[in-house]
Order: sequence, then structure tokens, then C-alpha cells
Amino acid sequence: MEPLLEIKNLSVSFNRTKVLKNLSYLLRAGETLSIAGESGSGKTVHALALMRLLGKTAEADGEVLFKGKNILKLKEEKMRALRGHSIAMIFQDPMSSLNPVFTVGYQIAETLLAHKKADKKTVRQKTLELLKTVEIEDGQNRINRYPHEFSGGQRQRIMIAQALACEPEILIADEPTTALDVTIQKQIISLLKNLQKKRNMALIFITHNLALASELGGRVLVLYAGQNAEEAEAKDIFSAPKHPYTQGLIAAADVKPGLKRLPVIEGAPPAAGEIFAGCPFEPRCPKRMKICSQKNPSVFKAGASLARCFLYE
Amino acid sequence: MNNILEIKNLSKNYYKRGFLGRGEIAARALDNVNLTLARRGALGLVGESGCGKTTLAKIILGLETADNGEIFINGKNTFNAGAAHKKEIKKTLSAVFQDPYSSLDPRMTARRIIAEPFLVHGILKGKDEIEEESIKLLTSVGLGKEHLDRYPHQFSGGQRQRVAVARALALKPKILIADEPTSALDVSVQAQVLNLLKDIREKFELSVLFISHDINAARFLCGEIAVMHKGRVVERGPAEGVLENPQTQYTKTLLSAVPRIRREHA
Repeated sequence: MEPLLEIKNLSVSFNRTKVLKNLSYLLRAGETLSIAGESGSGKTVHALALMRLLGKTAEADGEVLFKGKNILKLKEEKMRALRGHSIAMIFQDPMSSLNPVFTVGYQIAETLLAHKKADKKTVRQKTLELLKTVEIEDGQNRINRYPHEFSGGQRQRIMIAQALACEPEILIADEPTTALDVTIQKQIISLLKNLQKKRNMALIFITHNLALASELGGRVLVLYAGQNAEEAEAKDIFSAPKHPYTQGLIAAADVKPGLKRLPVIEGAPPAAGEIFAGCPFEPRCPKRMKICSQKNPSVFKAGASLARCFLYE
Repeated sequence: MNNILEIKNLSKNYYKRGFLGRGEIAARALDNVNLTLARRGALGLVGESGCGKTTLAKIILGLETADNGEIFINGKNTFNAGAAHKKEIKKTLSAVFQDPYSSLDPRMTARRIIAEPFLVHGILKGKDEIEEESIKLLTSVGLGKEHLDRYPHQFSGGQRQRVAVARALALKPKILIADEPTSALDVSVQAQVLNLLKDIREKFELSVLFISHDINAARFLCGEIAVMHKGRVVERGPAEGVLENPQTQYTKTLLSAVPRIRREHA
């Protein structure tokens, strides 16, 4: 089967500072891929590159093939037809990504009107259905309300409704629960999971929280300093992580009762665009070898994972 | 006195603005809160945003006033304290806040940031004395002399939080209030700061009030846990007891919502 999305050597730089380096991966229809990384790892920049929402100062190289077509090369009108229609995105902060001066109904309908040339009556019907899909009750009444009349979790649901309006084939969710409380987070995650299954939509879930990636299942890609550090099925990466960075992250997230000290990764993640002669994780790596400071490792097969680490050369 | 901090029947409402002065109650931020912090103990205060945990910290620190209730520090009521006693209280208490990007003045070097408490309280006056003490403080938080003349932007997030901890320790406080000290940090750095808090708690013989929405962090650092919900303390007890065998429905809901690393997948 032809992959839905194929990314080949995607690099993004701002003023010659490379923040994403040669990222490649495949995404099939209906698949879940979690992209995990810390701030500055390039995870959001990669998503914006897919949506072609990077500003003019950014330069994207490589190929992003959606159904075999390179969307980095598409004309802007063609991209507009695709954006929000076939590939949709929800953002981290539902407080600032909805427009406060329009009703939520209008903001959901806007996507439909832009892409589907439907008449007002069907659009209203569809918007009500969407509100129901994202489990917002009393849609008839709430369709005419403004974002500030909704809680954070509900606003995120409205963002999801907006993204789902045109039944996209790929939904990119960029840290959709980071601004929310844990109990609300749980609801949003299970909503995303259900919708993804029901609609057989591919989901790219961007997070800094590995535990969330493990709850979603599917495949996991760990980014570090703009490069993929490790890629594997969720069950493999969490039972037998291969890259020392993944190992460290999982150990730090998995607090067991009665620990005297938490396992740590020494040091701090590099600033975006920092240049390394060797492996960018080398200064913090507990398993560093001589070669690690001299050469950037390529990706090697390590058990069920692909890991960018000389341990598996 | 076994409790260094006692909070009795503390209430705080926020009001809507009325026609003249105060209108109706907009939110009950704290509703009859009772808590105690044992000397050299650590109490973890967990709950979701809006549950009142930060309001409580602000009232203890004197940054907000309560409507009702009392706070005792070392057995002395803080609300009717005289000026001299108030200054004493301020030396007893110190705080580390959530966001090290905004809690350090960007125009001050680490040297000035750490020296400020000494100058305000007039404790150390000589330049050399202050420098010596500042270096000691920086060393105890895992930084060193070479960091004295750096500005906040020259530190990473984790290092900034270390500077904030050093400043909090300057006056040798008895009680440290840490309000979400790790939630603005990168995941791989959070564990370092939690370990640091544990170390300094022992080294400086502190009593710690640790406020967090991260239950795992609270379990690691604290012997006791109190769960807050809508301005009330709904459950409190020894950490393992509360987490392994929660008694109230809210605590159960909260615990079951915490994402965990799952090793088996269907």
C-alpha cells in the first residue's frame, strides 16, 4: 500500500540556523504516530512545515510527499485547498487559537464554507453534528456562543471540531493537552483516540510527555536536537528503549514509590540550532564512547527500533 | 511545638465588581482550609488549576490577604503580628516559583539576585562577606563561582531554577514554599531539580510545602500529601496511603487520569 505521507530528509532552517535536520518517516492511512521531544527539538517546526505555515524567514528543504505529491513545491492556491481539508491541525493553546470576537459556530463553519461551497443551512446542520461528535452538549444553544464562554477543555474540543470539519485524512495534534488539567487531558486523549479509530484518520500526535505517547499506542518517534533519535512501535520502545536518551526519558517519567533519588539525564537540552561535531546527545550521554564526539551517528537497526546511536552500529 | 506551620479555617473569596465596591462572590478560592506542616516535614499539595493551591501559598507568604482564618508559624499567629514579628516571619519563609523565566530580574546578575535578600534584611554588609556566602549558596545548588556574573538569559531553564533556589536559601529559612517549581522545565531536567530540592531539604533542615499538579513528583518529595479540589482539602494523609488507597472519589479520579508509561499494548 502506498503511504499516505512520506517525509524524506526534511530540514528547516531559520537564517541558516538548522533547527530540523534530515527528518524522514512514513505515515500510512489510519495510523497513529507520536512525535516526542523537548522544547527546541524541532517537533512543532516539523508540523508547521507539513502545513506550510512556516514564516517567510524559514527555509524548508527535502520532500514532503502527500499521496506521492511533494507539498513543499505546491502552488499556494493548491496548498490552500489541501490545508484544513486533507491535512488539519490543532494547536497547543486553545485559549489563544480561537478568535475571541467570532462565535464558535462561525469558526467551525468557516472551514466548511472555505472548502465545501455548501449552503448555509447544511453548514449549520453539519456544525451541529460536529459539536455532537466532540461531545459538546446543547449544540443548538452553544453554537452561537463565544470562546470565552467555554472552559479550556471545551475550547480544545471546539478546535478539534474545526479540524474535523472537512474530514481530513491526516490530523496533526500539536501538544493538544499541555495547557489542560490531567482529568481534562484524559478526556481529550480518549476523544482523539475514538475519533481516529471511527474515521480511520491518520494522527500525528506531538508531545513532550512520553507517557501520553504510550497511552495512545501506535508508533513513536523521539526527536532530539532536530534529529530523530529513535523510532519504533510503542510496545517496543516502552518495553525496550534503545537510544540512551529514550532510556533516560522513560526512567525519569516512571517514578516508582520509595525511590531515594530520581534517575536523571545530566545537563540540559541544546539550544535550537547549536552545532555539534558529533552526536548532539554526547555531552549528556551516560554511555558515550570516543567516536561519539567525532561523528554524528546515522540511524541503525537496534532490535525492533531504529536508533541514531553508535551502540548499534 | 511539632508543627512549624498551622493553617486554621482559612477562607478566601474573590468577588465580582459591584455597583459600588464589592459585588457577589465570583469564586470561593479557599473554603475553610485546615493544614499542618510538621517541623522538617514535607507536605505535597496537589490539585488541578483553580483549586486554590497557589492562593493558599500567596496567603501564607503574605502576598494575599485571607477573609477568615488564622495562620500560625512556630505557634505564633501571623495575622495580628507587629512589624518586628512580621520581618521575622519573612525570614522564616521563602519561596521558589513556577516560572524561572519571569521570577528572576533579567537586568540583574546572579550575584545581585542572590545578594538582594541580604541587603534588604541588612544581614551581611561587607562585599566580601556577601560574595563568600553567595558562592556557598551557588555551590549547594550545583552551580559555582563562575556563574556569579551571568545574567538570567545566560542560564538554561534548569540552571535558572537553581539560582531561584539559591536566592530562596539565602536567609536560611525554616520553611520553603515551592509552587510548581518544575512545571516550566524540560522533561529531562525536571528530575534534576526534584533531586536538588530533596538534597537541600535535608542539608538546610527545611520544612517544605510543595505545590504541584504532578502527583508523582509530590510522592517522590513528600511524606504527606493533601489533595485540594474547589478550594477545599478533600483528602490528606501519608503519601503512600493517599496514593495507594485513596478514600475520596475526587482523589481516585485524579489518580486515574495521570498518564503512565504502559509497557504492554493491545
